[in-house]
Amino acid sequence: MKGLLGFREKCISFSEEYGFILFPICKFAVAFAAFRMINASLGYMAQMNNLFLVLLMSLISAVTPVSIMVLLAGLLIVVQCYAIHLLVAVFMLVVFFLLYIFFLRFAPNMGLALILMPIACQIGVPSVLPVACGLLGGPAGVIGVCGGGVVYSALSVVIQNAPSLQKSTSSGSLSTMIQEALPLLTLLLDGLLKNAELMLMLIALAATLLIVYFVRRMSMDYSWHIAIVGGTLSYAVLILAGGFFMDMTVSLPQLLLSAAAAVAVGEGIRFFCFQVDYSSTQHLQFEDDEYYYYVKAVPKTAWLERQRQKRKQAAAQKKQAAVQRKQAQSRPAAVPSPGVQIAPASPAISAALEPPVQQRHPVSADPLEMPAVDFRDQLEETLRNIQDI
Amino acid sequence: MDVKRIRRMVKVERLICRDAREELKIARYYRSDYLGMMLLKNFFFITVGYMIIIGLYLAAKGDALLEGIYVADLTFMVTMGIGGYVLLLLVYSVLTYMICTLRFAKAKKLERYLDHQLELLQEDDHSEKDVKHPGRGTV
Repeated sequence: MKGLLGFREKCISFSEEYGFILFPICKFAVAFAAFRMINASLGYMAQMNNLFLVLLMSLISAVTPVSIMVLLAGLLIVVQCYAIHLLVAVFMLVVFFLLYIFFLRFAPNMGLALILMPIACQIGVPSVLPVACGLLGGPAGVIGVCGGGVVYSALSVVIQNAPSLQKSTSSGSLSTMIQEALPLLTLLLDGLLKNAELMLMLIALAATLLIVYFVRRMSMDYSWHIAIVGGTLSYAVLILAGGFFMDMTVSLPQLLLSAAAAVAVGEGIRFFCFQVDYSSTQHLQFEDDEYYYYVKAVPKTAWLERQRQKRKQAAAQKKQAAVQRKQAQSRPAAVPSPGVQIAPASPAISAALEPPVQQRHPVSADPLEMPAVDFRDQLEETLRNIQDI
Repeated sequence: MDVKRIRRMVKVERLICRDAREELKIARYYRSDYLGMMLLKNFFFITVGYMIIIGLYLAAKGDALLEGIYVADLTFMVTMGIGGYVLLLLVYSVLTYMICTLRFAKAKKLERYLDHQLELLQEDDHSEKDVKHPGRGTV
């Protein structure tokens, strides 16, 4: 456990130190994966499949805000759809526009979820994203996750119907085009709106995210573990039940793989973002003029570890000072001759020779024993900080 | 070096340039102006979105819908269409109002916090000047 905590601390300090280069690299990787996925699944326009172009777009996405990445991905989808049929490109544009008007404008920071969700669906692990968003974000993540699900479903509809869509020509007179376009539009709209699988997926994604979010905010012990497992289970149960009642085929191995991936990613996030030691939980109760406070204080593991190390160091220093004092006592006392100056004692020795100062929090002799922490002091300090803010 | 002061300066700079950029833009408005602007924007968005939805629906199902239709059915359909629009507009207006009120309150809180931090920095500046020129103007 200590090794893992050390690894965590190293990772965090590394990301803090090299974040300026690490985050653009991550953005580049996400953008590259998204653009490659779009080209691999649609890929009807050969010019857009050029690796150099994909790399260039990924590079632009890496150094610009996430919204630019979303814009570029949308543009790529529309261009690829245009190669199938003009109407398909218009259909995708309308889907994006309606998504923005009715949902995405309320959650402008959900661009990354919107990009990652189709990638997760393509890999076959859609439950990873609601678990991750529920742990790291708020309920607004539902908009990004479900929006991503809609985009993936629209792409699937286009890919399924691409051969029949390609057969109809997009040239000729306007009336011919309209006559040919109407059945295609019906096909695409029915594929999206009468898609029971999409509806089920959206419900399961939204429910999972909300369950994870609300459970992890509870004050009970191991809330993050319960949130991860509960959210993943709820997703699996909803998909299985939906599949059973709606007569849909659900791939059980894929569902299990998705659940395992969601738990793994969730635990990874918990490891880096929420490390607490529930065994040292303290329950406090106090009052002021206006309120009674019932406080549960759970110490962070990293802080506890630092405290333990400090105590270890202090104990080692004390030991060393005691040994030096003994050595000094065993030596015959040298009488200083006049004119000879005695060198000042080392700080450790002088500290050991000083009369013991009464400590605010008494230190136990065992360095590995839990430190006595005054949570009341810490809480008051935190409240003061909050008031400052 | 006053580490506390440097930290405060970095925090203020980060807020102004990166983290609270959007919030500070919002905080420049009066509350009524901001909410009015957002509701107007919402009205245009919903109108356009509803028109697109109706257009798509008519394009896909128009032929089947208009087959053997009577005037009474047409009136009913138009009434339903307008009713749906009004309901959608109402729901989204309420949603926009709530979200924008929260956003505005958050932006104003952030602005107050920033002002407080800047005041503290200014106080630090003054006290530093006094230390540098303790006897200035007394002779």
